[in-house]
Amino acid sequence: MRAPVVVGGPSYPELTCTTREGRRITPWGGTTERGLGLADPAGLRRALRCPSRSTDRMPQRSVQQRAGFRGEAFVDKAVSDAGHVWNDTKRDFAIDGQIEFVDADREVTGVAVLAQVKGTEVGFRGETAAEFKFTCKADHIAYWLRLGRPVVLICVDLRVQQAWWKRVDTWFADPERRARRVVQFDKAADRFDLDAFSRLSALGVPAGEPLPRLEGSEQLVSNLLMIEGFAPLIYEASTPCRDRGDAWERMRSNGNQFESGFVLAAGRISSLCRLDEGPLAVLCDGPVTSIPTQEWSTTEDPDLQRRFVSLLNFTLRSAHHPELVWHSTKKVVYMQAPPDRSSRKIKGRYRGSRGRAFFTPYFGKDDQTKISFCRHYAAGLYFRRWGEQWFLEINPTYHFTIDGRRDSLYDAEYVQKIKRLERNNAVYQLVRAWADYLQGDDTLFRSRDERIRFGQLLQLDCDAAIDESVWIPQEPAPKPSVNGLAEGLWELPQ
Amino acid sequence: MKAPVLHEPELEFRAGNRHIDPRYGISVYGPADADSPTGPHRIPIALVGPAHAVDGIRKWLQRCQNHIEAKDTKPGQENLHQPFPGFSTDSPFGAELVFDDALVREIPERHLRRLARADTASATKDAVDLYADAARSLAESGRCRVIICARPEELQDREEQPPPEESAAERIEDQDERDTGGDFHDLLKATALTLPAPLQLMRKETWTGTPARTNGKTLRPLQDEATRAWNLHTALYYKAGGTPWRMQRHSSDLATCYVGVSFYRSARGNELHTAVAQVFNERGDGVVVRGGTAQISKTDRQPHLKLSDARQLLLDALTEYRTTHGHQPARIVVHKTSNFTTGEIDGFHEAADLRDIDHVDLLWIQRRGAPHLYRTGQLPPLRGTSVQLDARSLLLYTRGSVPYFRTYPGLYVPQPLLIRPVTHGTDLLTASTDILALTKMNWNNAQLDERDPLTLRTAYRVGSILKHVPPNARIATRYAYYM
Repeated sequence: MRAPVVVGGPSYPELTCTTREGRRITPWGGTTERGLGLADPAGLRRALRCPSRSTDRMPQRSVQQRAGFRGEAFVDKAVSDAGHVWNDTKRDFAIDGQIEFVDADREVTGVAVLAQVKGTEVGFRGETAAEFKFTCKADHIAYWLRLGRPVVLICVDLRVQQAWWKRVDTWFADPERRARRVVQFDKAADRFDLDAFSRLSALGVPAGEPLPRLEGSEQLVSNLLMIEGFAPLIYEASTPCRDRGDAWERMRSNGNQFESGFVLAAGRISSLCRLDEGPLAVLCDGPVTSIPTQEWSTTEDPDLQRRFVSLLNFTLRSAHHPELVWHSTKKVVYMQAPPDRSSRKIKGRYRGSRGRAFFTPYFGKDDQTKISFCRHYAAGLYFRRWGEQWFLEINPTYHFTIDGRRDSLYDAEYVQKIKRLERNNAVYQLVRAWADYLQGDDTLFRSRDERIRFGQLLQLDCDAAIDESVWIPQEPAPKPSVNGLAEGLWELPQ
Repeated sequence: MKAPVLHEPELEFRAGNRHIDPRYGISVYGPADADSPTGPHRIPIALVGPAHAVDGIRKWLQRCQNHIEAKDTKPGQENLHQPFPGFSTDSPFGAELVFDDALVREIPERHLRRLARADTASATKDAVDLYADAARSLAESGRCRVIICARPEELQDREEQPPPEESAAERIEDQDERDTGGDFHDLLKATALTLPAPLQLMRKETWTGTPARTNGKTLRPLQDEATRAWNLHTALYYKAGGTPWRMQRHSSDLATCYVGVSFYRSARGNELHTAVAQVFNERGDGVVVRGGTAQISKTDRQPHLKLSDARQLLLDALTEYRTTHGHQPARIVVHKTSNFTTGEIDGFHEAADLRDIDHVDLLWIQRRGAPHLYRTGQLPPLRGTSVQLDARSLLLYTRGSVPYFRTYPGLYVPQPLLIRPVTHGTDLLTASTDILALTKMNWNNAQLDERDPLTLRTAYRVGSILKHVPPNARIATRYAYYM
């Protein structure tokens, strides 16, 4: 029987091997001052000669051991790449190490989870494209459960350089699972990658402690629709009109040709439309002059700024007349009902958008032909200037009528109820729908109104992100408890 | 454009321990002044109300001497609801409520039944007279620290009407945010402003745990028992003279006096608007100062102060600050819900100059009109998310998703505040960090994420009470009398 060789250590300067009989060999032919210098290559070759043919057999590393080391190395790298710390356990009894989390300010948080790593070079038991199983030892399971700290099992498939994880102290808290000793992995949900770290860090946070803020960022979208530009000129002329009612009367008497995109101030009319032609010409009693719109849009004079905003408001309503109606009491615009009171759906611009019903009639339960009430999309639209940039702030809301025209007595109640139900995503989708609508499109019959050109909603980079898979408990969604008249009214986007 | 997220400010508890959540902080460390000899350890309580209500309150308060379990939460959101640790000398509060039969004034049922038949205005007045007389006789005995009044159920109370420009949903949201007061609450508080002990009003649902209903509909959402106990006992501890928690300040920070300026319409003269300032330091000790008459501006239709009134208001506020704290602040921060006129700016600066204070930050905080931000997901942006819209405008989310709770604990999509400094030298980051910390300084509510900073929040309360007090009458300066 060949004598096994005890190796003193992998990388020490004085690397010596000793046979069972106590004979000391120096495979490198003696050490050098530089430690691993190969002073005698021949000696090394002798020492590394195939043990099966040698009388002194060297210890063997099993395939499993190699996979284990490689698995740990994989986890170490993955944790380091994510910016956290992997501390391996020197004396290992079913815990290979712990992952300690580092927050966005590079402070080590003290939040850690214990980990056992398993690697394979041949694949896991019961492996399919979607899942696999791992059987644990009973004493390991008992140990994990008694630790009283979160323990995760990380399984690394070295063939594809991918890993999956599962919290095992809670997994085996179920006696049935504990008896079977099998951990079931879902390859999609349990993937051990960058996204997993927020969930992992959350495991280690005891009650009463806040979540560590891990490195990460996400995009936020504002309700500010950027304005790319205005019509280049503002036309001005003197006018005999004292107020808008007067102006309306004049246009009516001039053949019912109307245009609302103008403002009146101090005996002068200003508009982004031409004043020497079209419906507004009848309102002028002097020569038409023009000034660059930029003069008004960049002014610091609060009075002139107010006048410009007023002009923009009237121009916007004019551009979307007659679809949008101004509600003077609620100070919002809302989508006009079509003549036949049918649902008015407007398609979104983004891919996969199914469109949204800007006007929806709701019918009585008993009489499906009789409209019970109508829901109109509405919005408070405000022109704002932040810095040098003009925006249209969109605050979506609703308006309820009984027949598409007359206000519902229950309007405030309905709006309040729907707003109580709406969450972030629902309002975001509404803002997007309004932005899409206001940006407009050139169609076969009508080109886009260019007096105010809208761009995209302003996007911002937020320096912290929310991982909703950690925050929102994964439970079956509760059934909506809306009933009666309101049924179907509160359809919120998913 | 960037949207940095400010860190959740920590609060200071017993022995300088810190935590972001008032409830957790008290549970683990105890109130900030627990070791102080002046901290309230035995709080004699007086009770006013009908016999059954007095019994009910007493039983419930005695139950609150022991641990009350938290409401069940979803897995992972255990921090959202905290158990109440009990209010006794052995509990983290280190204080107990002391009951004495001599400190009970029962309001006869027949008097209250009469209220139900009277019209609302006269019933409210009668009820206030009944309660105020009882409270006065108890307070003047000098043996109680706080007087608890059971709100009469017979009274059909009118709720305070908000300004008309707010939409229905916003109105409801605001009512949810502030504890609705109504005439009885405000009138009784106004009448009791000169008593030696502050009042604490309680609704029946607080001690019974049964929501108030009218025609089968729940009138107000009712919190779980532990939360009700937290809110009530924190308020009682503060009203008894304690400091449950304080703002965390670094030793190198300047001693700061926070002043909230607001206006209210007096109950009789519709055109009279009086300015009121609430003055706080980092400990949150608040004093109330009443100012001169404000004028509605023709340009922005907001009430504004004349230069001399602005100067006098701040001088009075600084005098109160000095009386309370024994020193002048090194920095003044004025929060106001309307724009600053040139007269106001000059007036405030003149006052600061007279007191040799170099650092003055004047901030216009708009509760409405700030742009909103949306995440792509179910949860709204994080509390603390801020965006500098231009050189002089900062948007700040004081409500939003909270990492500590792992959720957004609100009902409506949150609305940010818009902060607009008047002075060029104002550091927006410091201003917004201060505001975020001041949102946690409401001892009427042990909540870590209030929407309004203390300076603005108190404005509504103080104004609605002071409008019932004649202009020259003496008023309580401690904020505990108004909350």
